Amino acid sequence: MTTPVSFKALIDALKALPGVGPRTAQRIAFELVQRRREEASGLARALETALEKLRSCERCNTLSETPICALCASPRRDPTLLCVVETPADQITLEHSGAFSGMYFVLMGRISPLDGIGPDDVQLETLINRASDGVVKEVILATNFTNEGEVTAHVIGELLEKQGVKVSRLARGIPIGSELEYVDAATVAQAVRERR
Amino acid sequence: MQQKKSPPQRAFVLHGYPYKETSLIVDVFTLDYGRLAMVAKGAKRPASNLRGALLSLQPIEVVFSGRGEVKTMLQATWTPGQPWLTGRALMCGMYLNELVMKLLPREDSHPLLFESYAATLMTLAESDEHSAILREFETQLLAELGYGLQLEKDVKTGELLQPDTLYRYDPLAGPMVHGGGVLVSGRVLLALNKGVFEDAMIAAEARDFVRTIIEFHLERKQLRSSTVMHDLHSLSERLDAKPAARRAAKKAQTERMIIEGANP
Ligand SMILES: [Zn+2]
Repeated sequence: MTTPVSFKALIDALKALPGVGPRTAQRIAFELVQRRREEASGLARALETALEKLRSCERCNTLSETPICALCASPRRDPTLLCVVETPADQITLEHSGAFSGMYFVLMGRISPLDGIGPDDVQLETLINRASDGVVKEVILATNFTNEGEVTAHVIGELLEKQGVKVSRLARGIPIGSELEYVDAATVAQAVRERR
Repeated sequence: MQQKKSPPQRAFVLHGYPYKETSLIVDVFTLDYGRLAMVAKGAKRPASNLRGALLSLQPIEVVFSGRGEVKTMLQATWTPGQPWLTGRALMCGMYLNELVMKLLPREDSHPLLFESYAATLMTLAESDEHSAILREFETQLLAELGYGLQLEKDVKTGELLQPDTLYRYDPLAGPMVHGGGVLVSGRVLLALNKGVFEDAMIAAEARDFVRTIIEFHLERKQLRSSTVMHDLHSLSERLDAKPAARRAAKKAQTERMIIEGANP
């Protein structure tokens, strides 16, 4: 049997997804066009709508259906505080904490020198311009406590300080409610070093 | 699948690649076995005994099994002692990791280089002489791989290198007055030999010279960290070029920091 052209095109499209190899792509393609035709057309429609409607918020870079997202447009947020996070999930976590009422900038990634992910991949120039608009008084760097998150915070911090913007970094520590005995040693070491 | 476990190994994670939801494929530099690829299943789960797999630039102890190309990590425990690298030192550390990953073949034992890597991370945390520290590690790495730099004599005439003479450096042979290769001053070669760089100019020339030799041995592989640092430097310059009063005020002071940070 020769592979129909459209089927091969579907497999190639699936292969472009992260973590999907040729065999997985073929399996998913079969599943979609043979057994789950209804779900497949739902998927196609959802994908088309999402691509058509979603864009990056002009203020915070997160996904939005409007040029400026609801949070950025809200008059109840404090525009003098800008919190930089790696992903929308991180933003949601901070929102749940209820401890922050300012604005956000979502990098949609982090700088990772070894993966070749640089400043342009995380919209650093947009961030610097956003943060030096004269309204923002303090930028809080809430990137992850991984080496890549640290490098990202360091780079943003240097660039912003040059613009005369005050920069702070999220504090790290022992999780609330946890007993020292069960906290991993690296975290304890860090907490001792950063004790107050 | 009952397979033999390795004895506990001192090791450093060079880089991790996400694999499925909670797992990683990690490039690990071990004391006795050299560079190995390992799969760390479920390492991202909070209670995993492979949490050490998530930390690069920190000493860990690993136990693994498997004889294939990709080993299975059975245990990865963080061990104390190495301060966390931050800022510019952290960028230097990432560059070191890329050098080791791109230059050291897999499964080649290099215990001496391992110790010098560990010592280099320690000095990066303790000293601001980042350029000198990187040059020293680069020369050790090249020597360990059999590409050692010749920094004392003209390899054709046998005469001692002179600071004011210009040499041609053949990456496979060494410096000579007459020959082919990279143009470099005797002063730079002698500075590299001593590990002492009198001024920023010599330090920069030494950096570019060693980088050229490394690129030769990398064949066509690109150093991604260098590209990212270069992009950061251009962004910094682009932002500086924008007219703004308060930017100009702080410029001189921070420009220096960024330039140094961008090109360790
Ligand atoms: Zn927004």
